[in-house]
Amino acid sequence: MKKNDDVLNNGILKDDILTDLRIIEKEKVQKIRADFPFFKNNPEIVYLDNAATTQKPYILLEKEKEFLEKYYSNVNRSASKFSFHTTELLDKSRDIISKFINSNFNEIFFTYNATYGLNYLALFLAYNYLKENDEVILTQMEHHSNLLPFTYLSKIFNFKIKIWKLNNNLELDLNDLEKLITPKTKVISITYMSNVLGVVNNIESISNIVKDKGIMLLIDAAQGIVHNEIDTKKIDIDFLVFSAHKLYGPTGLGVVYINKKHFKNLQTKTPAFAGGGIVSKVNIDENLIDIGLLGFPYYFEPGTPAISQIYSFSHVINYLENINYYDYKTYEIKLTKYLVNKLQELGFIELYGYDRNEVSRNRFGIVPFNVKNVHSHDVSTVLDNYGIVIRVGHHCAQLINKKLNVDSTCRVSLAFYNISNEIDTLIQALYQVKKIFKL
Amino acid sequence: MELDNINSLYNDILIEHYQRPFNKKIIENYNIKQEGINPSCGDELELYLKINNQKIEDLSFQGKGCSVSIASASIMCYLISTLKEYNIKDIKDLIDNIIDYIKGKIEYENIFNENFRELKQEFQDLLALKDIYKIPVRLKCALLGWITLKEILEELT
Ligand SMILES: Cc1ncc(COP(=O)(O)O)c(C=O)c1O
Repeated sequence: MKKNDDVLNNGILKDDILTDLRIIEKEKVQKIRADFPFFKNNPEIVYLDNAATTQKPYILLEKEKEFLEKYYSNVNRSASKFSFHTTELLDKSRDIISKFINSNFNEIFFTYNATYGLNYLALFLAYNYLKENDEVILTQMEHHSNLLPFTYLSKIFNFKIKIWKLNNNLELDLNDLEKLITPKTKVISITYMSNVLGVVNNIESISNIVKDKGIMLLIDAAQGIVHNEIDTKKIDIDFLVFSAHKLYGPTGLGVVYINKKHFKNLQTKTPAFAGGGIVSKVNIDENLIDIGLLGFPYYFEPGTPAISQIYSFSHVINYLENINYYDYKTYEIKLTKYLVNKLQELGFIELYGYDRNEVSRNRFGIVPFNVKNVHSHDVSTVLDNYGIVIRVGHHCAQLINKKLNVDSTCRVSLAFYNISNEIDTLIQALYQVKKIFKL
Repeated sequence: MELDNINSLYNDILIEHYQRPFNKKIIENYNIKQEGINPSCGDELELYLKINNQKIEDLSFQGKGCSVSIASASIMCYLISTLKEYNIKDIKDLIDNIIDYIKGKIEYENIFNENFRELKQEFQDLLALKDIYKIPVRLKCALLGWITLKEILEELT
């Protein structure tokens, strides 16, 4: 009797996942892998650090090369036909990228990465909206890139930071948010998906809670967009930020979405960064400051933008659209289930969050764990010896560690091009950790 | 430099010192306490020494970190605690050599000058750290305790 139960609960079910995975891998994922030169060039490497950054498809390299060889000039400024054409290409790229989150050409601007985008917005809000004793809500699962800009500015502009804490499922409970909100709450800045826990926050419900209260909602989508569709027309978001490099795009490029309702009176507001390219007129003298600012998006883009990266990234976006990228989410969820099952079977692994919650659409892709009684850096060194790349440490989100009561964790982060074989290699290497440390 | 065998890094002596560290506690009557931090991976170490008349009468450590930093500190406390008769100036010279050895600059045999010849047999736990230098990201972990002790002795001599 007991044996039958085991078969039902473990054997058959898990084999089913593997069979399923193998079919999808054969039909689809192997083709995707062929689009990424990294895998051909590094057959010995198992890359499971996708939350840090992702590998690049051929199309990125081809388009970057094409652009630099054929179309390169500065943009927006010159009167020459050639430069005008380059500007058109840039505009077209902006349009493609904006559609990916179902926004408009005129609702996104470019920075260097998500971190710069978050810093820009925090500064912009501090300059123009936040008053003394106003409250900004951040969460215990925030990346330092969202946590620190507001925190530093709160000291200079005298607004208050409130931290929305994790519950024992390592999730953010909407009831707790309602308790945190006061008439002084002006901004909530929150990650769409935790880069440590894999938890996907319900931004639609959060938006519904804050919408009528005049609270601005800022979404750090650096991880979220890699695993979840974003529709800025369906969900009322004020600001949203992501990095191209985590979405198979180039480094040095971040995208910021601003809901167009904030364009009113932009000219009367102080830009966070200023410089060439954002003004229509400048007249400055001892007793005179007369500056005419351009409209969106130029208002937000002082200096020369990452022109060729914007162009190549738009082609990566086209590629993702063409393969119906977000359809791979169910595959990613299955792959995560396979990983978590395997880790649980080992018996010497401490899982965080996944120990008491199922893998689901709200928790997948990123899996934190520790090998019991072994430091994460030792785990990393052993795995490294097998060519396995994972991330260990505090993952730039140290408030989480306090909740987990650990100094550091190991983190496996999957992408749609990972396969079950790679997880098997990881599991074998973890057996070596067990052997070496005599667990 | 490639490590040919992960077990040469994680050898039995190292694992033994990691899992049952020597003097990982706070000794009574210590008169020196010093902290060492390895910012790249967050290892933290505190050394406690009882030094009188230019002799190390006792030493211990506390801390958290990976097996390499804990085991190396344990080996250090274990070996140095056998040198109660030696002058700290000589011990400092010995530690300089041990640091060079851990960095892969000198062979084990060359650690011991005339004053310490007879220790060659007794200090063999150091062989556990022989291959650390082949993994540069972990070298700092192995050196943390030794460098902290060296700093203390430099101040006193
Ligand atoms: C949730 C989250 N926010 C922000 C960032 C910062 O991204 P970037 O380093 O590209 O600026 C990261 C990346 O680690 C992240 O995971």
